[in-house]
Amino acid sequence: MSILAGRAVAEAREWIGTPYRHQATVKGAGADCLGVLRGVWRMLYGCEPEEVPPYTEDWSEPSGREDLMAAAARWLVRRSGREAHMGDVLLFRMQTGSVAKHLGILSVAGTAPRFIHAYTGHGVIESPLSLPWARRIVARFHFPTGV
Amino acid sequence: MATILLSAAGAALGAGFGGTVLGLSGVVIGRAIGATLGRVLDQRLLGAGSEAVEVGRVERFRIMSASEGGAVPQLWGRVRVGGQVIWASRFIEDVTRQGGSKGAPRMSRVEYSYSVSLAIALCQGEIIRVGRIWADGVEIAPDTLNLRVYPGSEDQMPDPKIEAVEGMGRAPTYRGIAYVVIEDLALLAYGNRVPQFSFEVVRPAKEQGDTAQNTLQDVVRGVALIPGTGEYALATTPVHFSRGPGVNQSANVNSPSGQADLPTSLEQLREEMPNCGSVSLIVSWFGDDLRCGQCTLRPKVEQTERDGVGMPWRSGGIGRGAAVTVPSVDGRVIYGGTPADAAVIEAINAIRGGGQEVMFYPFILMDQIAGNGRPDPYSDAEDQPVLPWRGRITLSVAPGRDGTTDRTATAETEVAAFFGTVAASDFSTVSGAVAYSGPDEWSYRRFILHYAHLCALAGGVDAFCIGSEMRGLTQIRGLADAFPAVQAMRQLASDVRSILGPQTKVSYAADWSEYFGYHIGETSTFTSTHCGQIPISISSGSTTTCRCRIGAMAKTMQMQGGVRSMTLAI
Repeated sequence: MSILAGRAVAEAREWIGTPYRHQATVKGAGADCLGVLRGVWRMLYGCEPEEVPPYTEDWSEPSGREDLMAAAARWLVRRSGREAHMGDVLLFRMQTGSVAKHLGILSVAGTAPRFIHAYTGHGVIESPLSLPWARRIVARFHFPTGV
Repeated sequence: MATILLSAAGAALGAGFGGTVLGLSGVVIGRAIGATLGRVLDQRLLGAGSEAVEVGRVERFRIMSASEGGAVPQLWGRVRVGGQVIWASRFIEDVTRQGGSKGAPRMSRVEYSYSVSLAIALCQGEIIRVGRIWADGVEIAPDTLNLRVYPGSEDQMPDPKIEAVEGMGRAPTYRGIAYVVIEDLALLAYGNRVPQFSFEVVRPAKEQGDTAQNTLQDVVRGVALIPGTGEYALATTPVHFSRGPGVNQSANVNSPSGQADLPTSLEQLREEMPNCGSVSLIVSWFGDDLRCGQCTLRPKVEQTERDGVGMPWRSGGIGRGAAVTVPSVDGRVIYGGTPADAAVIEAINAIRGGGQEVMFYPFILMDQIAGNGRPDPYSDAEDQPVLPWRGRITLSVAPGRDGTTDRTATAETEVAAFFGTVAASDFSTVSGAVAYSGPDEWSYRRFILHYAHLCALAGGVDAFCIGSEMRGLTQIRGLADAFPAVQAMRQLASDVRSILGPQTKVSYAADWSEYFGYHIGETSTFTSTHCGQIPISISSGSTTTCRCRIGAMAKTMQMQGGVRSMTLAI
């Protein structure tokens, strides 16, 4: 576990309890799944990775473009293996045939993994990464060093 | 009624053995046992809740219930179950207001919609998959639900939705119980109530002593994808035929899964046979004569009037208009057409995309029907047999008969006509399709080289079969007892290798009678390991491919000596 990953998870934990608000990224006030990740990034690197254009709740579903996947690949480092590391950014495809549009941060690795994410209708929480959720992971990324 | 009676009987039973267990008197325990038994009997006799007013109940009625004390079903194989609701969130009301503008007074419109999340226990774990799903008796596409399946393992984790609602650390994991969680189920389609769900559950049968290594789904490593015909059977894109304005007929969507047949089948395969690492992808062209010198091999279609919307048919460098149709008997084609090239590419990508290897397996189906008027090389009959085996393709007069051309230069000429003169350079890729510009012939080389190029266009395959079970052909001898067909196969293998590169396995799937070489007569000393000169694959030959439904039969075969590969029918 790198120091960077540890800091990312510690920051993500501070976001727990933030209500779910579409497009928002303010700790304690409101965030969506991308909002949490942007908050963690700001803490780690001191700035926003890029200006995020407005997006709808269904994301790029009608166009079928993998916008979130592309953005994650621009800023994060993709892991090739299936091995889970604490502090990994997990990208989920919530339904087969739709675009990947949900994010979480792996807070506990090992036999009882957990992840922190902004859950629609519940706010930012730490959830168990159960088998059906783990199967929906399409990509794992880790935070880059020296940005 | 039975509850009261048996409860009393249980109390008497409990009183009989006296004493206390865990601080409970025998009477109390006995009453509890009696009451539980009685409740089950009552349910049988009287029904519980809504079951009591069922009229015209059918024997196989499955109802989803939410009552306390229900038994956990144990099931094996493929069973449809109603399940038991074990957890539900509150209903979420969603209100949409329209109208009521500040201009002229208008009727305002308020729409309410409701959603709910629920967990439904299915049976004792561990299951391998949930197949079809019915809501109020109508099959629905599982992808339309936000559904999570917990197979019922002893180490499964709690569901995030349940934990989000109940609080951290307060969600049970239901270990050992197979259950599903349906999140945010929109109830509008079901009249704003939770529909009756039933689920097709697949749980492998295990005998005592079965380990994780010897059950059917553990031992099957590969499947052959048949039938190798059907113009759009291999497409992952839904294709339909338009039969006039507003009248469409689907070509390859035959289940309510909402997907084409191939992805539906592959999904089932991957869930039920998790160790299946490779798929033999069979694609057929049609041969029309047992005399190799006269035999043409063509891709054929089922009809030429209308083309598939979403994927025009194209194979062998020609479109539907230029293609010959498969022969018909009683107004119906005897085989499905050759799969369209675009569909084959989609199938290769779908199989490899899911982490499985592809062995491409070009296949010859003979399509002679009754009264074909072609002289039989094996007899004096005027017609060749109906739909013969490709292994019977031979000379104009079969070896061993009077007047055979075996062991003459004519035999070499006949074999040369069958293989043709097409070169690997006669093909090109034009706008994502394989085009052909070689000699005007429908030969074996055109068939195989077309598919080698198509596989290369699809991004490559793991293995490629240049032929299978051509035992009649490979035994043909030319001058000086050479084997011209074997020589031609070797040339073809090297041409295919040049197209597909060194990492692709190139092989010939021999018939069992070819492994042993060629032995003529009991007294003759002539033997030759003729096919030993071709790269032969024994494990991929169709003799080790058993065509059967995955089930008891395969289980028996597995016990009798091992199944290397099984056939997946779509």
